[in-house]
Formats: sequence, structure tokens, C-alpha cells
Amino acid sequence: MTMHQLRQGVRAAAPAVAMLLGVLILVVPVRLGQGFIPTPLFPLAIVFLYAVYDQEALPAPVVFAIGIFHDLIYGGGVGVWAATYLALQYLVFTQSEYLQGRVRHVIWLAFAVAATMVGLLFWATESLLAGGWLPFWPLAFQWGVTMAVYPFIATAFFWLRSRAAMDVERRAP
Amino acid sequence: MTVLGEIKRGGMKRHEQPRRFGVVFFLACSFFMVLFSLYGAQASVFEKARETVLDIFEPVLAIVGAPVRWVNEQVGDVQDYFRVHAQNKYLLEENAELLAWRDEAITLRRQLSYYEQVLETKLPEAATYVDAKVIGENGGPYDHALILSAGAGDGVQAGSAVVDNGGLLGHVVTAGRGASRILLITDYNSRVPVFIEDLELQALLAGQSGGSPVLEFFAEKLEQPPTPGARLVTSGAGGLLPRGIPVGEVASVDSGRVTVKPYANHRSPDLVRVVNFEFPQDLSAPPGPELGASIGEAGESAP
Repeated sequence: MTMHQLRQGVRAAAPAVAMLLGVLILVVPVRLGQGFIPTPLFPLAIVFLYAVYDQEALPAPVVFAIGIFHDLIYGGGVGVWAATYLALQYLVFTQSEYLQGRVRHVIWLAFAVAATMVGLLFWATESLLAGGWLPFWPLAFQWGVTMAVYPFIATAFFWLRSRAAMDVERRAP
Repeated sequence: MTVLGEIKRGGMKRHEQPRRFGVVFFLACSFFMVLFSLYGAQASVFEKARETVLDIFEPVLAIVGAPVRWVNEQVGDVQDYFRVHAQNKYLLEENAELLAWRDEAITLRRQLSYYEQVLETKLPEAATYVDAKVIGENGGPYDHALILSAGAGDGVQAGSAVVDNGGLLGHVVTAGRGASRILLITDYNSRVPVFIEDLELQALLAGQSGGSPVLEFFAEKLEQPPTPGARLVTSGAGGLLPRGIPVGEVASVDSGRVTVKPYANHRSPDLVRVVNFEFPQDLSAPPGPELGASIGEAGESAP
């Protein structure tokens, strides 16, 4: 394997690794504000950003596999997080033409809308598994924290993408 | 209309069709698995998969969590530096109070020992303990669970109670070889049989996920409702958890809804203790030491 192929492999695996890392950060005891502030849902933002800007980067089987891994390491109902991520991806795919070329604030708003919709789906699924309606506010709180942190995740995403693009340009023959 | 080699058909470009189809297909698979979970949440195939994932990712969690733990420790150290005076005052007061309690406990222990000898009381076998570190937690909005650094290889069994210095935290639901998962008493799936000491009444402590756990009573109408401050311990009903582990106290009673404030620190526990308890089958066994030894004493230690 040449160095070029290795670089290409790393670049291709980066979105999946980023999403997996996002899941692991959710499991690690970060405990923001002595445990009173929930950890932002990094994988949700990562799935959204790749669905908007690079649809090939995170294929559905990869999102499904990481979602199932998320469910298994959480110990909850299997398929819940996988369905949430895939529903978000599907929502963004259906609106991809509208989202192309929009300014970042509009994309942020789109994330808020899409995340709220899949949040409702998540809430309904968890309630179904619990056998009764669960309180909505813990979900709203964590989703709100994720939306608040989204600009930082997006900034890191664009920075990494620009670095990758520069690297490709530099190495182009 | 052909645009740069792509054909638009019904608002969807041709190359988008397989991609969307793939998402829909896997979305359907996910919902199928959710339905399967609904009817077999603890199905052996899922449970085995959970144990395997825990075992494989236990070292990964330790590595990923190392920087987070380091930052938390540094932040804690800085906070301690600013609170050292207040903490010192609090600890001195607490120490004075504990000394008084110690004298009372020694007296009571002697009395108890005397009565046990007189009555020839047969005590159940003593519980054993496994100390473990918290290496992961469930960061979701509803499921409240922790991942521990000790598993079946260290003597942890599914169903065992888990305590911290304050009281009951939860019980083990998945025991992998080197790691285990515990369901906290605040999780909506958690139901713990408890005993209200003031009323001498049994009840179920039900997790709510969105706040403090509440009490569910077996009787439809209570002769006397519990009052705030009433102490709750595990009742031992069901034979899974040993009797007498401190759980919490009644925080409020509002139109029949009894909210409980747990003694255990379920928001940021670091070191916990798994209580392995054998429900007594043969009461002719010799008496052993009682429950409640503090963390670090007489227990196996997990890495």
C-alpha cells in the first residue's frame, strides 16, 4: 500500500471515525456542570453535517452500524439510535437541493428543525419501549444543548474539511 | 432534462435514488429491531451482543475517557482550592457528629451481639463486595446507566446491588467478562422494593428518568402517608437485593405523589461497590459480618 492510498483510506474513514468518536464521547463520563448539563449529541450533528455537505461520506450502512453500536453500548432498545440517525439523514437528503449553498445560519436553523423532528421520533420510540409517555423535557434539554453547541462542531467540521481539501490540492500532480 | 449527465426524474436525481433507498432500507431494519426489542428487550442475542460490545470497548472507553477524567480532576482540584476553608469547616462539624454516632453505633452493636447470643439468632451469609471504577455512563436523555470496570471475571453477577458511600445506586443488568452495566435507580425501567422505616411499610421505588424517583404503593389507600424525611432502605423482597441498604429519604409529598431524594450520588459517581448477595436458602449457616462496610474495606478491587 502506497502512502497516497493510505491517505485516501484515512480520509475515507474519517467521517465514520468522527461519528464513532462522537458516540464514545457520549458514553465517557464528561459530566458538564457536575452532571447537570447533558453531553451534546455530537453524532447527531456529525450525521447532519455530512448529509448536507458530503452525502457520500457517511453511507447508510455505516450510519446504521454505528447507530446499532450506540444502542448496544448504551444498553437500551436496539435500533433506536440507528433509526434516529438514519431518519435525520433521510430528512436532509430529501431537502438537499434546498440546503445547497445556503449560509451557515440557515443550515443551523435547518439542523434545529430536522433534529427536533427526529427528536420527536426518538421520544415516541423510547415511550413505546417504556410502555408509557416519557417526560419530554430531558430530551428537549439535551437537544437544546446540542443545538447550542452545533456552531462549534460545524466550525471544527469546516476547518477539517478545508485542511483536507488543501492537502489534496497540494498533492495533486 | 439532462443536466451534466444526471437525469432528473420526479424531483430526484438518478444517483440519489439508490442512496435514499439505502437509507430507507436500513431505517426499516432499525424499526424492525426496535419492534423486536419491544418484545424481547432482554433477548439472549441482544444481551450477548451488549456483553461483547462492553468487553471489547472497555479498554477503548478507558483510553477515550482518560483526558476527560484528567480535566475533571484538575477542575476539581482548582474548585477545592477555592473552597478549602468552607470544606474544612464542614468536615470538622461532620467529624464531630460522626464521633457521636460512632459511640452510639458501638453501644448498639454490643447490645445487638448480646441479643443475638441470647436468642441464638441465625444470620444469613454475609455479602461480598467488588470495588469498581465508573468508566462510562449513558449520556442519553432517558436511559440512566453506568459502565463499570469490573465484570463477571471479577465476581460481578447480573442482578447484584451497586452502592456508593451514600447508598443504593442501582443494580447490575449486564455483566461482561471485564466490564458491566448498571441500571440506576433513577432510570424509568428501575423498580426497587423498599421499606419505609417510619411507617414500616413496603413500597416500590420507581425511576422517572426526568427527575427524582417516586414511590409506588401496593395498597390503594394509605392509612398514613409518608412524611418528608422518612428513611427508605431496600426491603429484600424478591430476593435480589439484600435487605437494609440505605436508598434515600422522602423529599416531598404532593397530592399522593411521593418523591424520593436518593442518598447515592447518581450524577457523578467515580468509585462504586458491587454487593454480591446470596439469598439465604439454608439458615443453619454461621453468622457473618453485617452489611455496610465502607468502600475500600474487605472487598475485592477491580482495576
